[in-house]
Amino acid sequence: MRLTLNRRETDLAPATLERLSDTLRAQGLTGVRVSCSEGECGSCTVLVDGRPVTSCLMLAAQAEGTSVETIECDDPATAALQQAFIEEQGFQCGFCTAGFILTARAFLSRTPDPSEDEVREALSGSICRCGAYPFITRAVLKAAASLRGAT
Amino acid sequence: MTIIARSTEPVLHRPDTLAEALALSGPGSVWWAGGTDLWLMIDRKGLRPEALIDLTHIAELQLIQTTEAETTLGAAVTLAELEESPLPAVAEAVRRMCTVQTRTLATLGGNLCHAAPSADLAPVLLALGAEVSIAGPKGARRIPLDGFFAGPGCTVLSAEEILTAVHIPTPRRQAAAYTRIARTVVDIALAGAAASLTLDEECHVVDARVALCAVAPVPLLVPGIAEALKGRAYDSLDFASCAKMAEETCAPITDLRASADYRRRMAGVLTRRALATAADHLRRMPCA
Repeated sequence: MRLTLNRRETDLAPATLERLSDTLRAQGLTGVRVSCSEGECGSCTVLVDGRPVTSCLMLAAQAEGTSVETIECDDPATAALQQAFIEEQGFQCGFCTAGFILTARAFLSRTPDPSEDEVREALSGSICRCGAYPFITRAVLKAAASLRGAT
Repeated sequence: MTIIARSTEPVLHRPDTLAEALALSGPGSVWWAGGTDLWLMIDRKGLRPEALIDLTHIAELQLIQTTEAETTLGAAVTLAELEESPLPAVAEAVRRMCTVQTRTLATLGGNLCHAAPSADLAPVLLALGAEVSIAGPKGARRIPLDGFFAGPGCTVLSAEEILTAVHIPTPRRQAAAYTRIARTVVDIALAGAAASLTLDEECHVVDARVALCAVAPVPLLVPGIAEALKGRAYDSLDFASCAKMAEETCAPITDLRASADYRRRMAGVLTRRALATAADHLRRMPCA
């Protein structure tokens, strides 16, 4: 099957019951972190056609013809979020960070000037066991401001 | 199109039309849409299908269409798409379901066909008086959603049938609301209630419904609500009697999330809240 993976046309041959998260990790995209394997924690989040998806719940075969982006994808909004997460210390162990950043990126593309409450709701599908939530929220608000300034 | 998989793997079919999908159905095949519930049944509960029939490439299952009489939602419309649906109560309920990331995959039809007693969309759609369209080898049929659920994980669909769409009538002056209690935002409902209030020209109630989830083997309508509220002005309604009717209707169980007694009481509390919220929405509508 063919899909656009991190903006490159890519051919893959997944088994029927292969999770997208496993397929992506086998491609060396280890920024896709698998934790709960049941769509609860958000750490395996990737973007499929711009929308956030817990890739542990999606069959790789269902990604045929779509555009899949992981944290490894070179993108200005991802970069702005990464920078803001560093500046605001939006992580401790970092395991959940890629999922948070990609979810935030999809959210900010639709809601460029969010309130703090909107950020919290938008990120409610990701769990940070280090409890960095207030820092994560601040980082996303900061990245939103910097992205608004950039356009 | 059929994708041939490794020998130990189920076959994945990806039909483009409903007719093709129905022809592919056979022993050991399962309908696949978002797959978020089915995948967990495969991964955790030992479900071993011989074939997956992916319904997400069938155009007519993706439609969202509004006419003067009703809004039709295709069964493969995702929860993320429903967040922007023309029905505010549906959008509101969807925002409380699973997670942002799972809503991208999960579908309306999947939520209904999985038939979890706690399915959040069920009470909202029941309160809105929804009907469902079903396609099968013997043709199509359309039935009220009230009557679709047969038990936990069970519907009236036969194995060869597909839920194709949900139809919601559009009365002129109606408001609806869904309210629920859950341990966390991403957990399933411990109890949920949806209410709808429909007014006539004089702002008197002409119809009212309350539906519950997670307090009985199936999501269900509370009987007698319309009779209790009919003819009254929408801003002077007695919700306490409706709450009592909800408590009497439900048949809850005790499980790890909540006791039966708690669920029963919450059915009453949530009924009151849902009706009050619906009445509040009506207050903000211009009364002709």
